[in-house]
Amino acid sequence: MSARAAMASQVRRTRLGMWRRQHAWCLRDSLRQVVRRPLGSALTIAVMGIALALPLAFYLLLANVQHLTAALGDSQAVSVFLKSGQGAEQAATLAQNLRTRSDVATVALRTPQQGLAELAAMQGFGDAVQALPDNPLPFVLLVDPRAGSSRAQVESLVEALRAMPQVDQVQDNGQWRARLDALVALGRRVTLLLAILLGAAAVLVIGNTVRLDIRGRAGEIAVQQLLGASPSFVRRPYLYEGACYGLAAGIVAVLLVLVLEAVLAAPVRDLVASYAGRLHFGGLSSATLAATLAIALVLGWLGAWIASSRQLARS
Amino acid sequence: MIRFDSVSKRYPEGREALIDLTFHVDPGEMLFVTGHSGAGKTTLLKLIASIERPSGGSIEVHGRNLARLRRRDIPRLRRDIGMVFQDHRLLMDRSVADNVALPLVIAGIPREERASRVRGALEKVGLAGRGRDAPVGLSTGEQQRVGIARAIAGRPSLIIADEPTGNLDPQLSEEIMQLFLALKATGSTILIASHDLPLLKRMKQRVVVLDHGHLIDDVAAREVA
Repeated sequence: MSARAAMASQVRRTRLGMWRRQHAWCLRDSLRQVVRRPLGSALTIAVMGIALALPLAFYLLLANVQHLTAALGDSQAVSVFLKSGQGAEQAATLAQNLRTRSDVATVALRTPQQGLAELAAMQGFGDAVQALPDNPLPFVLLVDPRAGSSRAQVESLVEALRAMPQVDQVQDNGQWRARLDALVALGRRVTLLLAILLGAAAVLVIGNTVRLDIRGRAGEIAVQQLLGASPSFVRRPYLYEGACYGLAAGIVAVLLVLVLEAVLAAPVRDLVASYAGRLHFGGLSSATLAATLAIALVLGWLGAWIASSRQLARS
Repeated sequence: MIRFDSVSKRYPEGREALIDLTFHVDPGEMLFVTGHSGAGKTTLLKLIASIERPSGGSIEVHGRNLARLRRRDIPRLRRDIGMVFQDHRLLMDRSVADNVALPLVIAGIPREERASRVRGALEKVGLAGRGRDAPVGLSTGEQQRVGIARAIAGRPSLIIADEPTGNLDPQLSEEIMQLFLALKATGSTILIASHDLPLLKRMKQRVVVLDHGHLIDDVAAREVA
């Protein structure tokens, strides 16, 4: 390494060390300021924590509804209930005929015995099934439309099935699935809007706290500037302060949602059990927790950045 | 070290604070700027620290023309100047040591060296061992000493002081001035604004006299009586 390169490397190390020391001091200073006003800081953190907890709770709810829709799969299956007089042979013939249609992918035949066994397996239905003198369930054909079929094509298939003389009732599962998807999409949008609005509120809360802090420390800022502090040095403690508030609020939001989860866990478990375990109630994943904390930190930093930019430009 | 060449300063409201000021200060020199209230002493110090910009003329400090100094270079200039204020401007919620260390933190000095420099500065002003004290518990004279310790901790080659003895009794004023003399002996250039004429006579240093923004007299140290 040449002497010039060695010197350049030394200068870089020195500057990096200086930068690191200044940041460490600013971080300590901002923590000191947060701790110095325990009540004010706690209120700011609590307000922001609740504001962040609301969209997070909605997100959790939405994630579980999405689990449900995922568990249902993306099929547009149609259940065809045959008339009670239809026997096994007629049901098998009809199934075979349907398989030849170009708009049908698969057809599964479910016997009355299979239907009764399924019903008996569901919680609360066991005794009722035992009490039945005979099996009242009809043969059912589970018809899967051809992959890629549009809603109109499926509806046309449903109409054709309804028109068949052997058919008693046709249940179009895709219809309520489409409604559920629309509801989930609406919920997703509402959650996003709520997150944006409450995120903005959090930014304003932190911004106002930092603004008041800057005004309260105007004398100190003036001294720092007279002693040669750069604008970024003066601003840095307030950015750290905002980030600290944000992180603490993120932790509060996560704790609130975890408490909510714990409180709701028992009734939801009972509900899930009543659906014979087909539903699953999931909590917040570690990735979601980490993302929440990171977003809260960035929101706090952003609030402080806006407030400090405006306030320090005036000093 | 400092060169004023036909410097004027007019405030936005139209008041002429300094008019056609020309003088220079050599390295290692101690200079008093005196005059009645409103003569322009504080404005002169503010121009040196780039707190104010001149309306005309040129000012050189450490070879840098302050009229051409970019806004972003001002902090660097101020880090090379130790400033002492009449009202001390100490941070009352920090310890004495934290106050003295502030310019060192701003300059990014490592912690160990910072501690050593703070100890050294406090020793120089006679406040050794008082680093943990709160400034609010110190007397006015001691607070001014902390202000001086803060100004010298960064080892600046230039120290400017605005009425550093303004609130002090004669004995304390004398003590503070002896401190400045000791600093001068170490090679620092010192510029002090003061209207305390008896004190100036006792100090026997060069004196620049201002009146309504005009430099009306520049008395060499040997001529002060």
